[in-house]
Amino acid sequence: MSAPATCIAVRDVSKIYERPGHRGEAFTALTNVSLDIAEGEFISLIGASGCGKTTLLRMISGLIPASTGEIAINGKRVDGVPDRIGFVFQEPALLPWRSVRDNLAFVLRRKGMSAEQVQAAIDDKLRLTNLQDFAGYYPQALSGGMQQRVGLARALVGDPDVLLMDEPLSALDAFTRRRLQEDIAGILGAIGTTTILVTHDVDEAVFFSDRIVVMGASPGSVREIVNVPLGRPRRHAEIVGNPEAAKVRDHVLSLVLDLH
Amino acid sequence: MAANTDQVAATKPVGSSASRDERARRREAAAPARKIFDQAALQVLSVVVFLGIWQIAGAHVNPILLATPTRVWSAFISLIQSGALGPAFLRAMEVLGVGFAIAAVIGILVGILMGRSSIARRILNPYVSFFQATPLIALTPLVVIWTGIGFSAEVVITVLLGVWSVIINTTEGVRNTPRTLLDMARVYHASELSVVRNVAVPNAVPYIFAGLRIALAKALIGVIIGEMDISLKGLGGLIQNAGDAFQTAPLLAAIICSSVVGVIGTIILEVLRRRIAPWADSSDVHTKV
Repeated sequence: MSAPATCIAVRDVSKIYERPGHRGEAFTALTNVSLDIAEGEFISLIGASGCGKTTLLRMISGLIPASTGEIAINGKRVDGVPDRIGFVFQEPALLPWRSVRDNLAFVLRRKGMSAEQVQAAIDDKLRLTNLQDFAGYYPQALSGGMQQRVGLARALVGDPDVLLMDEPLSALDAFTRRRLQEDIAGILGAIGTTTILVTHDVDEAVFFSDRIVVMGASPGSVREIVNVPLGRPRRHAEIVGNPEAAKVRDHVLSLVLDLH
Repeated sequence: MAANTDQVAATKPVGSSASRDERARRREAAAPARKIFDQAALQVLSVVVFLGIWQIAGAHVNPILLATPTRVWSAFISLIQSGALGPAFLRAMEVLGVGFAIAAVIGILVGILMGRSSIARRILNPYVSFFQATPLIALTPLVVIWTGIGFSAEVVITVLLGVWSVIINTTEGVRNTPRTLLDMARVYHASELSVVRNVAVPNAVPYIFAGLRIALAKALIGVIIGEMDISLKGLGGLIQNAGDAFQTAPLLAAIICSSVVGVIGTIILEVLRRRIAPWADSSDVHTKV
């Protein structure tokens, strides 16, 4: 079996903010990050606030440019937002004046698609995320967990090459979060999209990831990349009490908490 | 509430007097209804007392200084019967309708431009701030020199008074678009036109309507002062002519009619808002001038 192709290549990337009014005192948010992510891989970026994990995610999405180095997705250099990116934001970021269906329609690029094909693509992702009964609802009528489900459906509706998630479950209560984690793991297991998740929840990182990128602060950098030697998709019932998972979890936690 | 009182009644000991229970229950059930009635009654009472004091005071001073409510009412009736009030009312509505519509369209378009483009904002902000702070009604003589006496001069005044509030509030509403929604639009490659149409303007709707309400009040001032100063037609004309003749009663009747014009305009705006943007209740928006 040949190794899967590299999907996302991050090469010596730094992010330096010039501070207006502080001549010469630039702020380094992230320094010298290199990372190769294989197709279909699930990667978590974890670390205390200020470690630059969200900055790295936003540079990969093309929302902000890298100061040095280069990022490529499927061999194409990222310069501005690439095509076929799915993004789930920390807040649901739904348009309150549009129904669930129309929120998905807003992001669907319908080059050469008939109206029926557009609706079929939307229905498909609503089914996948178990939202088929809520297509006509307005976001404010949905719970926080349901809103993030819509955020995920919207991210997937264009069949993206890469799915980027910025702490999408951090605002949810623990029970909703775990249920949504299993649902997301199942969905991504079925469609196999390359995924990067920013999180500060070690359990969440262990639950989802093939590899966990542990980052450190001042300046933000990669401290260690930890393998999670378990098959995917996982269920919480399999993780609880699993010695392999516990070992990874403890190791990541000690890195995050700086216990070395 | 009713269910609650039933429960209270039902838990009472069986042996107690039924009629007393019945009375107590009725009193409790009537309480919320009476509260609303009391509040309405207080408002009516306030108006009645005010009119009464006005009537008594008016009867004891020179009628040129203050007409009584009864004389204002009969002046109102005779203005209708003489055929003066109807056309005057419609003319004021017409000036307001045309001037306010122009102010709304210009204000919303300029507001969107200033909300989305920091360059446009830098270029236009000094003028908006300046004109917003200037008593533009003072431009009336100049406007007459430009456009001549008549309908169009009054429309121009109305637009000049109303447009700034619309610009300022639309700009504020567009700029207030949440960062994450703009990021979302960028990640999914929305065009600038699509961002304006689907994200920024819907977000600004409560602000726009708040601005329109303020603009309506200012535009109405423009209408009345314009008619008083320029053409001597319409409600402003009635007010000015009555004042010149020291006829206090028709003067006050015409002023009350002009406030009816404002109320009708406000109601139309609210109906429009509910139609266009039922999600956008502007009552919780912090408005600017």
